[in-house]
Amino acid sequence: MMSHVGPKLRSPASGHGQTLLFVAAAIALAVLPIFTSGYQQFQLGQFLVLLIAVHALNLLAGVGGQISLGNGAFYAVGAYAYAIAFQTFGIGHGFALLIAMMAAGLAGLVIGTAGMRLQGTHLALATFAVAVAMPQFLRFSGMEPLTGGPGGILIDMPSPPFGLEIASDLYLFFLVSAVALAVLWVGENMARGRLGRMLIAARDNPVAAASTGGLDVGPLRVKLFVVTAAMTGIAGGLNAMLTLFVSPDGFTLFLSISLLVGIVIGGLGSLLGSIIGTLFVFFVPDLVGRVSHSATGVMFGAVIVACMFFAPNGAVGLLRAARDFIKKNLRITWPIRKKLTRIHANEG
Amino acid sequence: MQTVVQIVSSGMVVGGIYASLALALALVYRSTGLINFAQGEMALISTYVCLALIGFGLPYWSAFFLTLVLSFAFGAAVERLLVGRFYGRNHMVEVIVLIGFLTALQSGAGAIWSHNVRSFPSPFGSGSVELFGHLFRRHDLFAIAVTLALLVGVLVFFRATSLGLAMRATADNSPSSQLCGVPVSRMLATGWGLAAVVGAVSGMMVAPTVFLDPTMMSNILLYAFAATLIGGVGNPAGAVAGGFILGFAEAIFVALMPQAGNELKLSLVVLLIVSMLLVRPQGLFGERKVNRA
Repeated sequence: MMSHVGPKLRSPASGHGQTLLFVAAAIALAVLPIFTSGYQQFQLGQFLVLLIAVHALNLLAGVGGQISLGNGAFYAVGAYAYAIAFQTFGIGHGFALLIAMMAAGLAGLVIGTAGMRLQGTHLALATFAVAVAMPQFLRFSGMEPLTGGPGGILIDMPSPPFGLEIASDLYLFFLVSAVALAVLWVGENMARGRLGRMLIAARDNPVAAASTGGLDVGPLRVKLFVVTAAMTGIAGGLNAMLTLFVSPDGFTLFLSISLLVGIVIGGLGSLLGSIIGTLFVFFVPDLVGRVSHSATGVMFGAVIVACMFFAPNGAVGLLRAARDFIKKNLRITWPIRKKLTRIHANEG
Repeated sequence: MQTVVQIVSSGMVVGGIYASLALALALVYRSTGLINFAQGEMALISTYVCLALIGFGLPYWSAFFLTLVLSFAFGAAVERLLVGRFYGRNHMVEVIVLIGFLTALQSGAGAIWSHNVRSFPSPFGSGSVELFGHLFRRHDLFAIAVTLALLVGVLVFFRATSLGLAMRATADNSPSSQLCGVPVSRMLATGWGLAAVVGAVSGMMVAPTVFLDPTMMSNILLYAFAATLIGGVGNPAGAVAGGFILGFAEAIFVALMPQAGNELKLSLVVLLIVSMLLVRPQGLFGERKVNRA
C-alpha cells in the first residue's frame, strides 16, 4: 500500500468554523485600506493572487493525489486570456476575468483528459513538459498580433463600474480580495463536500473506489483538474489586472516550481498549509534575493528536499505534531488534575 | 541533394545529443524505475566541473576522464544519499524531491559559475571537413562518433560483463536477485553512477556547440524525455534510436517550415511527449503491458 500525504476524510459538518473564518477575513480585508498604504494594498493583492494559485495546486495534489508541474502554464493562459479579452477586444474586466477562468479551465480539460490515463510520474512528466515549453510558445511570432510576441501586452487599469466614486487602485484591491475569498471558499467547499470525499476515496484506493464505491475515477480526476486549472486561471487573470502587464518571461518553469514549493512547505490539502506556504514563497525570496539572484532557487530546491526528509506534511504537519506532543506530554496537572481524575473516577 | 545532406547532418548532430541524455534517463529508469527530472542538471554540473578542471591547467582528456570518475561518484552518491531514501513512498514524493534537486542544481550552478554564457573547448579542433559536398564541423562528426561508441560500450557492458548481468537481474527482479546474492543496493547506485557518466559525456559534447550556461540542459532534457518515450522508457537502445529519430524529425521539420519549426520546437516536443504517453506509452519498439491493478 502506498502511503499518501494529504488530508484524511473529514466531516463536512466542520463548515461552520470555516464560514466564521471567511467572514472574519472579509471584514478584515474590508477595513484594512484604512490602515495601509497603496503599496501595501498592492502587495496584499498579489499575495492573495498567489494564494489562489498555490491553493489550487494544493487541492489537486492533496485531495486528488495528482501532481502537476505545469500549473504555471494555466496561470499564463489565464493572464493572457484576460489581457487579450480586456485590452485587445475591449471586453469589460469582469467578463475578461470570467474568460480567463474559462480559458484556463479549457486548457485544464485538455491536459486533464490526457492526464486521466497518466498516473503519477507520467502526469508529472507531461505537465513538466508543458511548463518548460510555455514561454517559447508565447513568444511565437505567428501569434504576435494576439499575444504581443516576446514583448507581451501592456494592460490599462480597469475603472470602477456603475460610476462608483472610488480610487482605481482601491477598487482593484477590493475586487481582488472579494474574488480571492470567493474562489478559496468554493475550493474549500469542494474539498469538504461530496466531490472532495469521492476524490479522497479515489486517491487512497482507486481500485476499491471504482469497484465497491462505484466511482468513475477517471472523469472524477478530470473534474478536479479542470476546477483547479480554472482557479489558477483566475489567479493569472487577477495578476495581469494588478501588474498591468503580461510577457512570456513571467511564466517560466520557475513559476510552477514556486507553486510546488508553496504546497510542500505548507503541507498538503489544507488552506492553512496553503497560507503558510504562500507566505514563504511570497516573502522569503525577497529576503534571500538580496544576497544573490540564484540564492532563491538554491534555497527553494534545498527546502523542498529538506521538507521531504524531515517534514513530509509541511508546516501543518509540524504544527499537528507539536499539538499532539503538547497534548500528550505537557498537560497541565496542577491544580486541575485532581478535579479531572475525580470526574473521571465518578464517570467510570 | 544539398538539403538532404543538410538534414542528415543536422539530424545526426542534434540526434546524438538527445540520444546520449536519453540513454542516461533510460539507465536510471531501468535500474530504479524513476524518471530523473534532474538528469540534465546533473550533466550540467559535470560539464562545469570539467571546465573548472581545464581551468586548473589539466589537459582536455585528463579533465574529461577525471570528470567521468567524479560524475560516477556524484550519481552514485545521489542515489545513496538522496533518492534511495524515498523508495516505496508515494510517486509524488519522488517527483518532488527530484524537482527540488533540479532547482537547487541549476541555481547552484548559476551561483557558483555565474549566469554568463561561456564557451567550452572541443578536443577535436574547430575546423571543418568536406563530405558529400557539405561542410561538417569536425567537432560534430567526432561528437556523433563518441555518442555511438558510448552506446555500444553501454550495451556491451550490459550484455557481456558479470556486473552488467547483475544489474540486469536487479532491474528485472530485485528480490530474486538479492536472494541469489546480488548486492542490489550497490547495483542501483551503480546504475545511477553510470547514468551520470553518460549524462556527463552528453553535456561535454554539446557544450562546445550551444555554449555553456546554467539553462543549457533544460530544453535538451525535454527532447531526451521525448526520445526515451519514443524508444520505450527504460530501454537503452530504444532511447538512443529515439534520440536519432527525434533529431531527424526536427531537422526535416525545420527544413520544411523554417520559422514555425524554430519557434515552436518545444511545443511540438510537448505534443509528441503527450501523444506518446497516451497512444503508445510502451514506445515504438516496446510491447504493451497489461495493467491489472
